[in-house]
Amino acid sequence: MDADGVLWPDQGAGTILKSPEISDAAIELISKFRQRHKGKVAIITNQTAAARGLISLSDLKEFLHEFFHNINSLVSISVVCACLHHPTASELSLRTDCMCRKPKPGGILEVFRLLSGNPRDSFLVGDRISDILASNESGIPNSFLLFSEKMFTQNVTQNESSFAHARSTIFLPVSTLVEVEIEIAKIVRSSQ
Amino acid sequence: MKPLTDSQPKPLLQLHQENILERLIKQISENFVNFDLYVNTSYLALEIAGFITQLPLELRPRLIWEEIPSGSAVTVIRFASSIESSAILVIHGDLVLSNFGMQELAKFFSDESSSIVVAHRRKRSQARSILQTSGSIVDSIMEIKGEQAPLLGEDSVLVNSGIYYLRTEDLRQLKLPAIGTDVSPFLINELILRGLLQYREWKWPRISVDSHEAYLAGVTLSTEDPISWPE
Repeated sequence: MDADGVLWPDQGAGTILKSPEISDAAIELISKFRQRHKGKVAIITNQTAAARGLISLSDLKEFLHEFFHNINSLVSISVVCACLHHPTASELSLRTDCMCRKPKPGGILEVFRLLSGNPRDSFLVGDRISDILASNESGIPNSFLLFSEKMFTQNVTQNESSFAHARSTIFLPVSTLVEVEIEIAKIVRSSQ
Repeated sequence: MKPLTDSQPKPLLQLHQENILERLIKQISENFVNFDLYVNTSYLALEIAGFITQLPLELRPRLIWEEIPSGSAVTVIRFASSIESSAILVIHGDLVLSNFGMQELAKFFSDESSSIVVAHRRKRSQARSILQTSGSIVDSIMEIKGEQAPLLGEDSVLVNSGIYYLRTEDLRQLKLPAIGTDVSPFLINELILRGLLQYREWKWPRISVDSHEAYLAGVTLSTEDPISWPE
């Protein structure tokens, strides 16, 4: 799952620094996914607050550690993978065209490595087309994109040289996390 | 089609009770079994996604989104390599079909063991995307020479209907063409060359909404032949 815009409303760069509350719908989806399908849940998120100079790198790391520790007391999450880089970061140590920043798949692939997971048996929920590109690239067959006016606003090919060729991105558009839960149950049933 | 399509993509143009895309989705859901539905989109994709998200989950297709349009041949060949299904039915998103026509289409394909292009008759003077005797497709009468005479003689010829039933096994034999390449004529002719494609004649009402006149004809067809769908 992506974080901003999925676990809580997206309020632009640095949303997480406002300590947003995880939504009831997200808690319910994660809980049911774990109980009913014995699944593991990972959060894969681009967090550019330090790269944009909104907070120091060490403070951001400390903040994220404590923030997700608190989230884990509400709902069980197996791994959090946060990419702190940005190709044009003002903080030089974070200025890199890394593989872990979505739409690239590095973060997702790292999660599969850590959890010994198989992309073919996995789902992804995002709110931006960059989430879905990363998902498709990782081999996840079922991706859900929460509908919003911002879903296509990111120009994913810009400054992404390895992605600057035409590609097809496949997903199911959804309006709520409840729809994600229904659809996952349907897919799991049909594969049994 | 401008200005009608300035702010909404053609498949979302309103017909009698529903838009073109919704009519196709409901007719397909009514007549086909064991299928997954996908909508390929690039231009005004947000509008398409917004409309699709309003459909009930059981009718909702997945989206194949392309920031840079790949061309329909590229999309279809690439898609064929990523799915387990034995065949793909490709329908242009600007088609308005009669209900009986869609029923017949489902029958066409229920037992098919080869890839198929659907074709309908058109006056020679208005014909584009014409099927030749060999089954291959050319864009205009002028391109037809010698033994490649058009089907059906002087008055009418068979033209491509924009509906294809393509076996994934056949598609997997094709190399990915250049970006921007469409199904017709490239993919059709490649399959013909390999002896992998047949044609079936379409005799039922079919309107391709490619002009204001065609759009009005589509509205008329959907009014005279509404889909019955439980609310």
